[in-house]
This record gives sequence, C-alpha cells and structure tokens, in this order.
Amino acid sequence: MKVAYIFSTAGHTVSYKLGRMILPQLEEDRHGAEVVGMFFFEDNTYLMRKGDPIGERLVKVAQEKNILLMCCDQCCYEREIADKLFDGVSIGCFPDLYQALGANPPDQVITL
Amino acid sequence: MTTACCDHCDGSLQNLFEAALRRSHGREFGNRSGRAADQTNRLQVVIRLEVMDNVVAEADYKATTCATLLAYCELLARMLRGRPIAEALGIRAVDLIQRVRGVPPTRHSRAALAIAALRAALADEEAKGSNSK
Repeated sequence: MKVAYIFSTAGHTVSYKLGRMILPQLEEDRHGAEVVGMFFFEDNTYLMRKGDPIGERLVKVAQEKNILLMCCDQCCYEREIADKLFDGVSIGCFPDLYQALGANPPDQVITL
Repeated sequence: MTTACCDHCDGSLQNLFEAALRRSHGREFGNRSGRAADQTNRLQVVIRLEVMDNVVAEADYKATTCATLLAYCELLARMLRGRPIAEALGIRAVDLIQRVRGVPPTRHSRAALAIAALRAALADEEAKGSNSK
C-alpha cells in the first residue's frame, strides 16, 4: 500500500509521531507501507529547515526511498524559512502537491 | 527586524501577500490590460492599467491565488503607479525578485509571469517604441 502523510496539527506531531515512530521505521525498512510523500503545515515546516537533526535524517531516507517532501508555501513565507529548507524539499500548495504526487499516487492520505 | 528595500515594499513577501488578499481585484477599469498564463502550473495573471499622457495613472491585477504570484503582482502594481510608460517597460522580473526576500528559486518564475502580463498590456507601446528606433 502506498501512503502520503500530511502533518497538519502542531504540538507533538513531528517530534513524536514522525521522529519516534515513522522515521525510525522507515530507516529500519519496517514501516509496513510505501511512503510516497509528506506534506508539512504550520510549525511542522520547521522540521525541514536546514540544521534540524530529525529533518536531516528524514531527507536522507527520503532520497533513498524517493519520498516527496513538501512544505506549505504560505506557512514557510510567514515564518521566513522558504529559502532555508533542506535541498530537495520544495514548497507549494495543494495544486503543487497533487501535481507532484500524480506520477506516483498514494492509495491513502493520512493526516496527522 | 524588517528593512525597507525600496519605496514600494519592505521586502517581506508575507506583507505583500496579505496586502494583496485585502485588496479588491474585481473592478473593471483602465484602458490597457494584458494576460499571461503558465499552463503547467495552472497560473494566470491579468494586469489592468489606466494610462494617461504616457504615464501609468493606476494599476491593478487579478491573479491565481498563489502566495508568491500575488506578492509579485502587488509589488509590480505599486511600482507601476505614477511611472512613465517607457520606464514601466523597463521593469524586469529580476527587479521584482531582488526586492522580495526569501523566495526560493523554484518560485521565481512567478515574477516572470507578472512581467509577461505587463508586457502584454503594453504591447502596443512596446511596438511603437521599437518602430521609432
């Protein structure tokens, strides 16, 4: 099964659900689903800013497994980090996300 | 701290974008208009100008709701108001890109789209300028 994750709620989302569950499972090849994309809203976008240790690990595994990483453009502009993201991490809105996933669409989109 | 980069904006995309959202862009006015589209990204811009005595008296736009595109259009409209046609034709995409900080290169094509709409609106004036040379 192919899945895409949308990290919508802030709080403990990326440091806990992504950093301590999804990411280690991807690194250990035992997540149980093929992840084709991740989209980050609001403060979750800080994870994709250069220098973030969890983000660095995620970018590495995303490159190995061909996982799309995209941040909400308005969220990044508001936080003035749009030009400070890891290489290979794009910004965009829903049209960009759907277009990017079009070639490799997920069976399920999971919002966290 | 926000530092002003020119008379038209403080260099903040967020401020330009929010100003664009606050403004009403539905009004029909002006004696020039131009449209440009990016089919790949499904974006479009219409620039409307009121030109009097070879000066842009008023400028407005209607654009697809992309934050980057709206910010560039808002800045372009501000730069155009009160500017002679000859100077307006000299505005380039890089002039917009340099004034708005923090936009990644993958989004710079939005500035070119705004300028393409301006060129379309002033196509007659541009042709006149070319013919007189």
